[in-house]
Amino acid sequence: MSIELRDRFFDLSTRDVPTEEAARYRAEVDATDAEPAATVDGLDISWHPSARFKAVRFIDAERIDERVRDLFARPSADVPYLAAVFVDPHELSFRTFENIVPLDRLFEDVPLEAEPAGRVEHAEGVFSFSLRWPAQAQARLAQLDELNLYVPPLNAASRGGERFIFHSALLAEALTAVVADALPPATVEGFSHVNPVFRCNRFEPGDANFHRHRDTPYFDAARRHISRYTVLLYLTGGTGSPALDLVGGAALSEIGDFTCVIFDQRYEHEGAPYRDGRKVFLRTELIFTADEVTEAPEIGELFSKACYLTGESVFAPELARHADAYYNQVAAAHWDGMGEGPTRETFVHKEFRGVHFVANGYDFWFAKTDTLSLAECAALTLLDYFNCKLGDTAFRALCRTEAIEADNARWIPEFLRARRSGSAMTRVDKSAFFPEPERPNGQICCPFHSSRGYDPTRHDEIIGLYSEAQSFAQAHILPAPILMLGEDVALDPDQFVVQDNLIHVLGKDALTPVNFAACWNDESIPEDYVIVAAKVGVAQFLVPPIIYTESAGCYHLKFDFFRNSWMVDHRRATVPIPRITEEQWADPDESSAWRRSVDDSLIDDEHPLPPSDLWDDDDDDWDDEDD
Amino acid sequence: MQVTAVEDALRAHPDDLASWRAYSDWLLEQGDARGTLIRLEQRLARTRPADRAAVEREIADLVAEHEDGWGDGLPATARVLARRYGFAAEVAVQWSDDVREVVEQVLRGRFVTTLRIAPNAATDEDDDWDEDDDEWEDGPGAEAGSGRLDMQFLDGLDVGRLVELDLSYLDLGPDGAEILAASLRTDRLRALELRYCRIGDAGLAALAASPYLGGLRRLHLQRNRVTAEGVRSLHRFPELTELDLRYNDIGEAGAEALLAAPFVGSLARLWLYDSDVGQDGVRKLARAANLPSELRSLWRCM
Repeated sequence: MSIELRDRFFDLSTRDVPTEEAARYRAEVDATDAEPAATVDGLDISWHPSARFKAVRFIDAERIDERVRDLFARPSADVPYLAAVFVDPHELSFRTFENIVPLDRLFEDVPLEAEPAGRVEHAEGVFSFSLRWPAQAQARLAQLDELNLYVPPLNAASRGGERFIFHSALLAEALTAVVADALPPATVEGFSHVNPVFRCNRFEPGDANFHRHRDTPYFDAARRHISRYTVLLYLTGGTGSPALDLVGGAALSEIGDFTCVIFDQRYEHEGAPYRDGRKVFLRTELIFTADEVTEAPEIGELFSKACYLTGESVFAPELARHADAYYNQVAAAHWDGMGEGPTRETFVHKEFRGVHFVANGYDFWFAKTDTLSLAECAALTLLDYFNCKLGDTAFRALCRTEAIEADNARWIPEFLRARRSGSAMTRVDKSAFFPEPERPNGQICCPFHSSRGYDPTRHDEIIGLYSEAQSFAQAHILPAPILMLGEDVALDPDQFVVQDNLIHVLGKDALTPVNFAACWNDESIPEDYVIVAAKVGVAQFLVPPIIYTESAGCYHLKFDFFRNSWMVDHRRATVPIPRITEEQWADPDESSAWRRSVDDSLIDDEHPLPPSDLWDDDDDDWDDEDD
Repeated sequence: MQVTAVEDALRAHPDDLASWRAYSDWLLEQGDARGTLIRLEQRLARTRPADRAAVEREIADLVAEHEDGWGDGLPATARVLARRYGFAAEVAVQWSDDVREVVEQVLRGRFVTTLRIAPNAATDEDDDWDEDDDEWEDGPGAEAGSGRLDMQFLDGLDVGRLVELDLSYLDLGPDGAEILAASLRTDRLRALELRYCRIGDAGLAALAASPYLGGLRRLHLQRNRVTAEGVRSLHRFPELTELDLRYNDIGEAGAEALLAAPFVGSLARLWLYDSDVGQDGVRKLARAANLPSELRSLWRCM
């Protein structure tokens, strides 16, 4: 059934389907429940669509657990290493809104040296030229459209056509060489490279235009990189009226295939479908290195709001329009300073387990009450901003949400006071996970030598392993500001340090695991006796301090994450809590050893763990003929 | 100054700084350096971090000079685990043939409020606990098994000063627990460590029936073959705030009995594993409205 659902998805998405058939299919998907088959980058994935897993993504199949890998479709014969996975759109966070498909392998072993010809400067900062590619490269580029990787964009309402995003360093490198050659030296001064992230767009005749907009410049203060020009590489030619309109610059009505158009990102522009055939083009940017890359704080604020509303639009589609308006304002602000934005601002009122707050992606307001601490407000802000998962459900899916448009933020204190909040979080004494081991009994040997029954709970060797496992788990759990216990959220107020008007969110700190050494003569091994007591979700945040103020009975928190390009990061891990089994003999064939539950990604230099001696099925290469 | 009355008050309220200061005066009159130690330690607590090193040095010098004289008549085989103002407060002794004499001496210590009696190598040797051990079938009144310890030594000892008693890993059996219950004629006891003592439901019932032990706050009962029936006996300890029942197969019925206990809403610590209560028991604990939320949450990630 699920395989059939999976295959029909790809069948239906490659042909025109009668409305009733599509509706029937959607109803079947809505009626299908599915458990996640695997997890990649913290996202649960399924091999078929279902009521929960509705958004398709293309990822390198090697990243999927090999035990279930073959269940995932490889819908594109030309790029068989790409697997289609279905994800829950509610779980997308600002880092995973877009699916950037790795396509470098498509261009491996293909000569990519292109020659520019017939450069025309249409207006100041607007160039076009034809690119002559080797035949094989041309064929690969043309192939991009046939890969069936198009997914509906998140801002589908404000733009026509289809598109997918891919990454190819090889293609970017080839274009970098061409551009450096083709543009006037004054234009390429400070030019670093072509952005290896490409958007492949397709418009059919009759599709809606891609409405007038400015491209949002790429900006990375840490590397001092900024984009200044947009690159459009047309893979098909055709005519439009005009096919590309650069407001106040140039209008291109006829475009030949493999034409490259490069224009200053100051230009507002609008694209239209060809009248006479399919329009396929790639979009990317020219990245420049600047001596000083600074960004007005207002721009970071707007960008933060835009990203937040994009995420919220999964729950309230009408918000996509507001996000789009912010993106355009951000783009314009790069060139002309902060101009007039939308006259009314969009806020989101949320309720999470009785706690009400109002947010716009940059500001978060909470009513100040006796039961709601500032640390909890900061924690809720982090959970919302990063859309962390609580148990199997994304935070935003657990909130009741309504969008509110208003002229300003002055209404918020009274609004929140009318909805006074309690606390939505529990406290947990982290030491409760780590009871001290029993006092070892030196007389206890291994199960083989314990004729009257073996007690692992007092065996020094097992206690040594247990202590080591505890030490490892503690190193992950003790510094975590937030723990997820099933769907409960536990707050560690000590990890939120309030100083002046800043809330510092503390993070990981390594503890040193203990080491031990020791008779063991049994089929089972000591590691089989340390098993899992519980599994605790741990959220770690690498974030700059959160600014807060108190006024009108409200806490007002500000997330200034995009300013100065802070390297914000959020990680969620599941940490198994060890315990010693009471079983006298732990059957290695049914082992539920703690060590097997430890995700390899938890082990690093700061959290070392010696290699396991547990039987590894992969090493089961017993050869009958082996002497 | 009524010294015995002050000492009695300090045993009951060991954090009463004013009484310790008064006691320090008396000690100094007797030429006991611990009078100075009390002053110094109290001063240290009031000293800002930057100036503490000097006071700490003074304390270390004083202790080094006088500690050998602070035995207070404790037997040589006793090990002091913790001191308060130089006085032995927590003491450990090993099980031995003359355990009664040794313990009697320890209990005379002025401020000994915690006693640990630990198994010696010989008593701990036979610790392999066979699930089919026939001893469990013997029931109360049966003769003690080969490794079982005779707890009669406690009979008649004055344990009135004890606040904590740790008999972990001693093979008491149900009978030993019964003798223990009859011997602990003190309502001061707040913590009882009986892990791996094999007391079973019968031993626990005997302790619960004691009219003196209702004030226990901490009870550690790991691996005692306690079942749901034993958990029901725990209802006689209404003041419990810390309970360790790991490695006892109490099952779902045990979880239910626990949730019906009068102390459940006041528990700060509850140690139990999923295998002790079974999956249905885990679900009950995870949903229990009367369990404090910080404990209930722990059951939601099992």
